[in-house]
Amino acid sequence: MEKSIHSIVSLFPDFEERIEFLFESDENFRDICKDYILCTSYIMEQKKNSNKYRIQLEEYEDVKQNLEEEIFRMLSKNEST
Amino acid sequence: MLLNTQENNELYKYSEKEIVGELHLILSSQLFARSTVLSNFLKYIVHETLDNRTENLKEYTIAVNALGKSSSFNPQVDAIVRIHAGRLRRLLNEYYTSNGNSNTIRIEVVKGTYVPVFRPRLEYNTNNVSENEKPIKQFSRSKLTLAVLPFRNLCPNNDYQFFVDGFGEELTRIFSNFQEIAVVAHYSTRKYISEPEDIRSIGSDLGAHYLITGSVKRSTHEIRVNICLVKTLDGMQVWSQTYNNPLNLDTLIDIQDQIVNEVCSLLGGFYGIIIHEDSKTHRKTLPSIHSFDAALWNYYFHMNFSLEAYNQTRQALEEAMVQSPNYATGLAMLSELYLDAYSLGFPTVDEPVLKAYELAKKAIKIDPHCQYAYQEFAWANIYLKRKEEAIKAMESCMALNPSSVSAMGAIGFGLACVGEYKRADIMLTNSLDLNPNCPWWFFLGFFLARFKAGRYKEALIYAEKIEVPDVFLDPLTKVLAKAELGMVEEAQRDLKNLTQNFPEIVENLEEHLSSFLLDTEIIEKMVQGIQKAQRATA
Repeated sequence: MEKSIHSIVSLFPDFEERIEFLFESDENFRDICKDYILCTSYIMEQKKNSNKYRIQLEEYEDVKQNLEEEIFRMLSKNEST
Repeated sequence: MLLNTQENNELYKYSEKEIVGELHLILSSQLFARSTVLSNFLKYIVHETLDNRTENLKEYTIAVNALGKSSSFNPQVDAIVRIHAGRLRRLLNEYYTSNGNSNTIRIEVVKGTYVPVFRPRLEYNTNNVSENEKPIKQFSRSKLTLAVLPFRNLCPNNDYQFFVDGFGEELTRIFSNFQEIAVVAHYSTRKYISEPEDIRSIGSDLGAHYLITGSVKRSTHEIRVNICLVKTLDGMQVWSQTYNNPLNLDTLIDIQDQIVNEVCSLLGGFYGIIIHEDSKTHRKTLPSIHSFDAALWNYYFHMNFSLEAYNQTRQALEEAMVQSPNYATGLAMLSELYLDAYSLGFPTVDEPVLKAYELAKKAIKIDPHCQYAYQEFAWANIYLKRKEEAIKAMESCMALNPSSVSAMGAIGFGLACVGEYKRADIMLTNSLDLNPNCPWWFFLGFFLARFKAGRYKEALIYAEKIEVPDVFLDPLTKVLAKAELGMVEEAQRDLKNLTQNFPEIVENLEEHLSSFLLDTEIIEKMVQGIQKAQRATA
């Protein structure tokens, strides 16, 4: 869990407190963060191997981008409420 | 809350036309038009469900048939379907809170399954809630959470308030020693003295899955304490007990200590009512490994020891440890699982004992107050034949929380395995007295002590209580006790079961037994017992 928080905080350092709060209290937010970590780990792992999975990597990169946007939307939404 | 989708779809019967109509509405919305992947995903799972092919809704089939992956797709290494499923779930939620708000049917993808649910639009609308009604939020915590509400004082003139207040504080204090359950600070619950609310709202406010409530009354000669355990999800009462004691001011604190200890022993710990109740609920409604909490799988496995539960528990725990590598209790659970697999002959990792030893050691290093970690450190030492170190770890384990009935039982069994039968018997008996929800190996501990002492009738009573068909100790203990009692025919039946289902173990019985029993005399006695039964059969 701590690892998850750290990587999300490093992505959005201005939202540290909010990330911690949401991570503790919102299952939905936690799920998105976990998926994001899963995505980034997979990408790193595959990049170490070879270029053979280039197409899959593109899909993961896209999904990662989408998840980042989702996280950002949740952080901004919660900040304004 | 997770749903049993099949039951749910049977409950709300919609025609295929209605559901396809709803699907088209969703797919034609702007939200979904932006994502071909999620649209294809949703279309596939809805149509497969309508065609009664829900058994096909697995990660692999979704990847290949809906997401265009090749037939070599491996869901073990590629999590893309799970990730897209999460995105789809959230996008549907977003759709139903915006454009789809007034649609009559809702298509949902709940966690733990890829089978969609078709439900009516929620009647509940936040705009219509009166000021006095509080909406009940869904909440989820990573750990099972309990709150103790302040007890109600029903004594005339509010007498004995110190006694009444003491229950909430003491129960909270002792429950906080149990690592399996998180406890909400008592201070956070005090406001409910003056503001009584619906149990479900309180649970939602505090983020607690269970609440302990209680009251104190008195008559001229007696003081009566009622205590209940309530599940906040549905407000149902799970357990309750009334304690009557003679009214004597000098002994009130002792009475309180006694009641508090009894309640904590019965409800808390790994084999307590709270975890038992929670695992029942989850087992019934969450068949998927991805949504089932690893700790509850672990509990489920330790109650039945089936190979299937073992495989699922191992997968769940190993996945959980990848996510949270510093979760001390999780490390201890995995350590225990590797040792169990080793002794039961289940498939496991290379060098399971050393691996288990390292995991338990790491768990203690991360959290020196983790009772479970000491328990497994003791067990790893048993498997490494280090009796003194094992006993030392068992003592450290009990010192951390003497109220933990589950630890008491595990340590009791450990003591039986190292040959300390008297101490084992006392601990197992105490544990069983305080909480009857025990796993089968408690009975194995009793069996070993009785068998060693030559009390075969009693040994047989305990052997009969070991009902775990996937474990060789089930038929073995029955054969041994029956052979010693001269019950030849019955012993033969069990022997047949043993040799047919566990031939490799029978061939190397001494080796298998000595993996977890340190008393060479009892091993010899058990091996001779089997030979005796085999001779009788021949």
